[in-house]
Amino acid sequence: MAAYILRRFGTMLLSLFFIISLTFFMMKVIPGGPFSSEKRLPPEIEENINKKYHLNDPWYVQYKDYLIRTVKLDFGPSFKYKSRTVNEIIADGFPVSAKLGSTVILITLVVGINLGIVSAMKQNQTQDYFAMFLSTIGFSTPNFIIAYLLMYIFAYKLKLVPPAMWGTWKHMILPAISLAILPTAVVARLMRSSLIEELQQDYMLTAKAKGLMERQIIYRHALRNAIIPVITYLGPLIATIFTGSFIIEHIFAIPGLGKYFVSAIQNRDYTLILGTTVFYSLILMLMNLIVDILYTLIDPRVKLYK
Amino acid sequence: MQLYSSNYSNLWIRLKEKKLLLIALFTIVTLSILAIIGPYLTPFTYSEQILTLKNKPPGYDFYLKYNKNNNGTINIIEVSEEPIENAAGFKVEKRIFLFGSDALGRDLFTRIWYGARISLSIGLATAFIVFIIGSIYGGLSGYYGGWIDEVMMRIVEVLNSIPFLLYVILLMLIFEPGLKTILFAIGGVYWLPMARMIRGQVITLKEQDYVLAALSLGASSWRILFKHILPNSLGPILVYTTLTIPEAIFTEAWLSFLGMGVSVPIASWGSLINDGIEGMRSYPWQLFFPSFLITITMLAFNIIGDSLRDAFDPRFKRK
Repeated sequence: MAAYILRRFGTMLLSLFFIISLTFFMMKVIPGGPFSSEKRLPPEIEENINKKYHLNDPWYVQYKDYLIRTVKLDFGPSFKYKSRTVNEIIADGFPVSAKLGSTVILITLVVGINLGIVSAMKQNQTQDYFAMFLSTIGFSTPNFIIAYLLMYIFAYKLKLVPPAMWGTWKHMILPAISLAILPTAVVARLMRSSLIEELQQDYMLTAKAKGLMERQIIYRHALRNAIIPVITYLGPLIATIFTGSFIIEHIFAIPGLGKYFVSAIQNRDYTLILGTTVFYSLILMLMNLIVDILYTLIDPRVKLYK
Repeated sequence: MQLYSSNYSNLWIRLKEKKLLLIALFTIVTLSILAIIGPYLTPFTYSEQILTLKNKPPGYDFYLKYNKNNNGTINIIEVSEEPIENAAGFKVEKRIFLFGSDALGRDLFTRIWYGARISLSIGLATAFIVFIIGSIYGGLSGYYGGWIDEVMMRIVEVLNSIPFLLYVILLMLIFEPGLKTILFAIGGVYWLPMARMIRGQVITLKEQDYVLAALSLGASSWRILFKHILPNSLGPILVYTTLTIPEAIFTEAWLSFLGMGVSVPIASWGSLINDGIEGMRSYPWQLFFPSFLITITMLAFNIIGDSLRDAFDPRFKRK
């Protein structure tokens, strides 16, 4: 186990180094800087700006500086929001995103798993077809379309919830639903097919022969094994929510990390793009590692390490 | 492991049983035909603006008086809801905005089918790129094994740990925005899971007896890989390729939505959705038509992919 975790950490460090370098050099080759699009500045001022952000140093010095600062998790000042550092922006934005994200995970698991159970129990009956049809639609509708559809119906027409911004729990309803629909559809399908497979195993016959009730059979026996594919999906789920939140936060004007990331791209705010990319990647890799370890703990048949 | 490769003969029978699949296929064929001929069904072009007729509702009809320039573009002389009198050297026509017009007075119907061309092409082209790169990369990695496999898979693992969309966005930022860049960015990312899946297939299939038979007959590695092993894992490859199409269409829409997609005045479904958002409260049809089409397209491709998976996988066979 320890060897496995160590190996995973090795890969993680390698990946992180690759990502940091990649983003750094990508930012270097992108035409136009954060100050170049506006009206022409006097040369002295441009000189001073370049000096302040060390833009005059040769690239290898900038690269070295950047690597050292990144290892210390210091992403420097933001180019656009002059008075704030990237670390402060991440510290502001991440809790908001995390709150939204964990709500979405909760909705996804509760709704998705139950939908899958209903489908599997009523296999090839109306309920099953209905649930799977819903799931296919959820799987096929881009989240930004869902977001605008919900916004149009529930905020503009019915005026039940605020259309955008952040604050009370009411602000969270629409973004959370828009984000949750796709992963819920995936979880429901995973749950259905693995539960159907589990229901055909011999131990199910034993349980039935013992005279257990169907409820007990499902929840005590089948579910424990059937839930494993759903746990494997947790890693990609977190990634889906992350990337989905770029757009959903942008649409609903939620001051989370995703919104900062999108506006950083639009403003060509190099340091903020670099910082958020590295931060996102780090979180995602850690989550994946945790999920994989969790996986071995839940199912002793799975051996990740040789 | 013969999960996918057996029972090709029953495949068509099993596919035909599915009504849903037939509907999906019909939808895709209809959409493709409309994408090809749609822009020619109207007298408008995708970039022609009639600035006096902004944001008109679907089915709006009007009379247009114009003359043609030498280079084929038209000069609009007069626009009216009442019939206009003709004069020498000019033309008067009754025209209709079937799906309404957009904020610049362009015909939405023409733009939507023009956008369908772009979106569907991106989907198909990406699937093709992913199919080629994934098969070769995954095939070689799985077939040769050993340190080659180790290195190749380590590369995939590192690339895979980067959040997909971050990577696409970064690629989009570097290169000039446009169709080629989108293809490059999306295709450059989505081959990764394909390569992994094919590698897994090849590893199990290369232990099969027919590979040994081919080897003993003196077949080259290249021939064994591409003539014997890969055709036998056609099932999962086909399923994955089909499911790449909706994903690529979605990713393109996503990028266009953030303003990183195709450049104006070219339209894709994503950019049309983006255009439609500003007026969504007053002119909801501008948002509705492209959203609806992108959804049913993705739905149809997903249904086809799912049906293929069920058909290739005997575990889901009906008893």
